[in-house]
Amino acid sequence: MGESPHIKMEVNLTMWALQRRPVMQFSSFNQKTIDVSQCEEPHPFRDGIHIVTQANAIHYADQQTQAYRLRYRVFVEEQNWQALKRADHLDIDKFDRPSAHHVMVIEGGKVVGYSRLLPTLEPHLLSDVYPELAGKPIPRAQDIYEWTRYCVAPEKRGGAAIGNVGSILLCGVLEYALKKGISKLTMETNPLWITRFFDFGFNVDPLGLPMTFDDEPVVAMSIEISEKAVKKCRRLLRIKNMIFETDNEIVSGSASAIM
Amino acid sequence: MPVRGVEQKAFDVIQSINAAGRVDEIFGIVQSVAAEFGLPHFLITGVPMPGQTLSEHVILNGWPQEWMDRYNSKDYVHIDPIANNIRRSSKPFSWSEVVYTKKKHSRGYRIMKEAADFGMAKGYTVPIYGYDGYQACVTMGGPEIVSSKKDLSALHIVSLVAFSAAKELCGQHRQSSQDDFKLSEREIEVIKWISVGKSNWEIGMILGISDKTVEKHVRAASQKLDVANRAHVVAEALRNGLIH
Repeated sequence: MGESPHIKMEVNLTMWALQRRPVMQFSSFNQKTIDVSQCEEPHPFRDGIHIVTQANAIHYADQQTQAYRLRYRVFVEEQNWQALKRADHLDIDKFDRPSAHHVMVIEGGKVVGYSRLLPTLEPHLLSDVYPELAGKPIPRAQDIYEWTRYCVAPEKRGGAAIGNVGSILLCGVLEYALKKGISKLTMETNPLWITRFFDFGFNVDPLGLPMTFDDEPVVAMSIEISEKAVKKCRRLLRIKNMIFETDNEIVSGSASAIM
Repeated sequence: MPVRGVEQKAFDVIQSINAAGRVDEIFGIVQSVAAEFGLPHFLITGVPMPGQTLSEHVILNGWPQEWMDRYNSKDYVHIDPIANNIRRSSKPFSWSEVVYTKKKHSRGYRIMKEAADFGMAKGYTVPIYGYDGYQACVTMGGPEIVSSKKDLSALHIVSLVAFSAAKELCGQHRQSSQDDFKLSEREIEVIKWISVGKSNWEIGMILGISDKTVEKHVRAASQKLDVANRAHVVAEALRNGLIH
């Protein structure tokens, strides 16, 4: 597949960052955290955070398509990433392999928030698309993943960041990383996130100097996943209870099967 | 400087900032870097809302004191074109990018002229936006901009890390943990008694409340600390400095 020469910002959280209204918006997810091991079958339609991997992808065919469509809406239609343009209006690239982990926020049966985690031992964005963003050796290990394609449906944005879908998605990814034993998450994003992740209590390591893509600064960085920081993030963003659906491998704790 | 050199310098500076244990150490590091890049007069501060003063938000003051006094006494922060631009921009900017004319923005124009008198004819400002909407900045001024784009991008991330580190060290003395968790005095008291091995019944006797009420406090505290059981409540409270 041809390489995209047109490099754009992966995680555009600027609009999220600029929301400044003091009104608090509480999450609609008010139920207790459900232990998936109690459930016979995954429930793709239940409101909450769903982790889709090759182990359970078969149950999420419709949601996966919704996720690719949401990505297209945000990254191609809104943010104009020409290189991702496709006739079928789905954003699917060469990194959407079976080893990719898809984090979906589902509400009312619809995918309203999404992020993708890629194993760094395989080709990923920093290693293959934006290597110039790395001024240090690219972190690559079995327990290091790259956080990509963070997006929230436009109609679910707005209002205070605290308690909304964007925050649920953020906390969902971090909580998942913690559960999975991921030690670091790398990302290419707006430098504003350096201070923000610091605020949440993460150790942040910029991997290179910021570069400007289409008038927006982008920096490669990694954050260390710690329970303390993940909890602090949830506390500060007022995400009390999260419904978490993961593939059964994680619930049963068979670590070798996960990575 | 060749690109590799600037990048490595940024990494080294960031490392020294992260290793700093006191705010004045960070001050020294930032001062040295800023001077090296030709923009010695720096300020790390929150951005005041209308009606607030600059001084209540300052984190690290690297401005000439006479300028800071003047700036505060005349409340320049609300008319300064640079300060105004921070509210409009999410990206770092050179002061030369900010438009202000003698005719249309006469007061702002005058402020910039006065700043030049204090050695800040040119500058570079990094806006910062917190998760809860707070605004801050790292701003650096000097007689002229000698830095290349690469140099400025190094200053960009160094500023962000310096801000985070300084803000954290400044906040250490506050009772921030307690405010964050919103545990009541009673809940903290109960946890302290659990930590010395008292049962709910015993705690009830000590505090003059029923053991059901004690249970209620334990449950509330557990929820706020996001833990599952009694032992964990104590551990978490200790970990966050709520009890000792």
